[in-house]
Amino acid sequence: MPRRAKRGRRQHCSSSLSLWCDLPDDLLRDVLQRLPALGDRLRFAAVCRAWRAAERSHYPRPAVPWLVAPGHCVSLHGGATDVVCRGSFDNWLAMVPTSSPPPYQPFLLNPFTMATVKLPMWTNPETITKVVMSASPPPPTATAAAASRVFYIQDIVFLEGKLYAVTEAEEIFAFDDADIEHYSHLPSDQWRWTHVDKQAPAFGRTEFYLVACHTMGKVLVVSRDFGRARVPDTGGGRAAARYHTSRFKVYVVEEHDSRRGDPGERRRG
Amino acid sequence: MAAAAAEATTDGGGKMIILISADGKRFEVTEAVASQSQLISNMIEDDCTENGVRLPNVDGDILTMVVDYCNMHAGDAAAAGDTMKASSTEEELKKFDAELVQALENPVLFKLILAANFLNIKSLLDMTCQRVADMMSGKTPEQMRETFSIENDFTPEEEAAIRQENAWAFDD
Repeated sequence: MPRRAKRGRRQHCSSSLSLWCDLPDDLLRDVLQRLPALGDRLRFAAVCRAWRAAERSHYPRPAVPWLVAPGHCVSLHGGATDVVCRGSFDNWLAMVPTSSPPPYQPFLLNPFTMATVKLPMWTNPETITKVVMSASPPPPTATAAAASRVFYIQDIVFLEGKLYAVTEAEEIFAFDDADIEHYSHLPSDQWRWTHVDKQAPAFGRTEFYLVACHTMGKVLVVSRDFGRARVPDTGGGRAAARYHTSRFKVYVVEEHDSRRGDPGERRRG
Repeated sequence: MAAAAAEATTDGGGKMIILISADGKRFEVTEAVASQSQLISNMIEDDCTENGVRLPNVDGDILTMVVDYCNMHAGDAAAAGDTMKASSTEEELKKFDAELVQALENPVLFKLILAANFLNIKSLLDMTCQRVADMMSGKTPEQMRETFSIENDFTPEEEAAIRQENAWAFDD
């Protein structure tokens, strides 16, 4: 069936010349869907009352306003819809494509100058979850490292030229900047690492985050325990299980020049 | 008898349908061509195209363009027709679409969108809406008003407030 034009409460342009103000709402929506840039949407809404009403009342705006500082906002024409930001350093954002599965080309973007720096092609099957940089680009002074679920890594962080990584099993690894390029080939007994007594949570699951504390020159680990909460049956016949945060722990990573097998220390913060 | 049969079918056996524009122009097209319009496709299914399909919302000029477009895009569906010597290649189609869409200006574009919407021809609607979006993209509100002959019906105060709200979007 043809779609019906809904013209109900639309205001009409005072100009008799203009047909376009009277474009039915569903067609205006079709056009607006093809204007992904927020700037275009805002300018569209500033043309006349009818278009403003249409833009405001009917259609969700593009999800991502391109930040950044007061009086300065960056909008990428069309490009804003298929990349996500997975990290930042100074003026640089680490952008990861979402439109296709790997392999793909992540890149760094300076939203102030719109300069970009290509990162190496990402060929792992799992998508990038986080990108960190040792210093401000461009290379070779800066090293970028990316994490994904492939190596069971939950979080990574740079501190003073070292890359720290925490795994799902609460193992914490540290790599010197110079080694990073080869880290995936490095035998695990050559990794300098810090072992943490692992206490399996009684139930639910735990996630780990790393925080680089520059004033201390230390890396902090935040562990977050999730508990399972039973949500009462709402009549659908099944009680839904929901996770909620049951506990946070924060502690400092004390690094040892130890080989695999030597336990490290843990200090609760 | 023979004449009636000729009118009803083509050599390939596809039934012919008469489309009648608002100003009374008649277009004879195959079912395969006409079926790209969901509206007409439904009418064919309901068997109510016998006496021609009246399209009171569509002018003859616009219907000419729509029929050209549908003839071009009937492609494999119209394998029967002598008129479509070989089905158009993808490249030809792209070229045809690009030329059509580039040539579209006000108010023809506007009428074609309404026709595509009324006849429910999705690909034509997509193409024309994209054209409108392309004409808007990167333009200031003033330029959009000029392009689409729209009168600014905001008061100066309102307009200033709108610009103030998202000043970054209005840097020229």
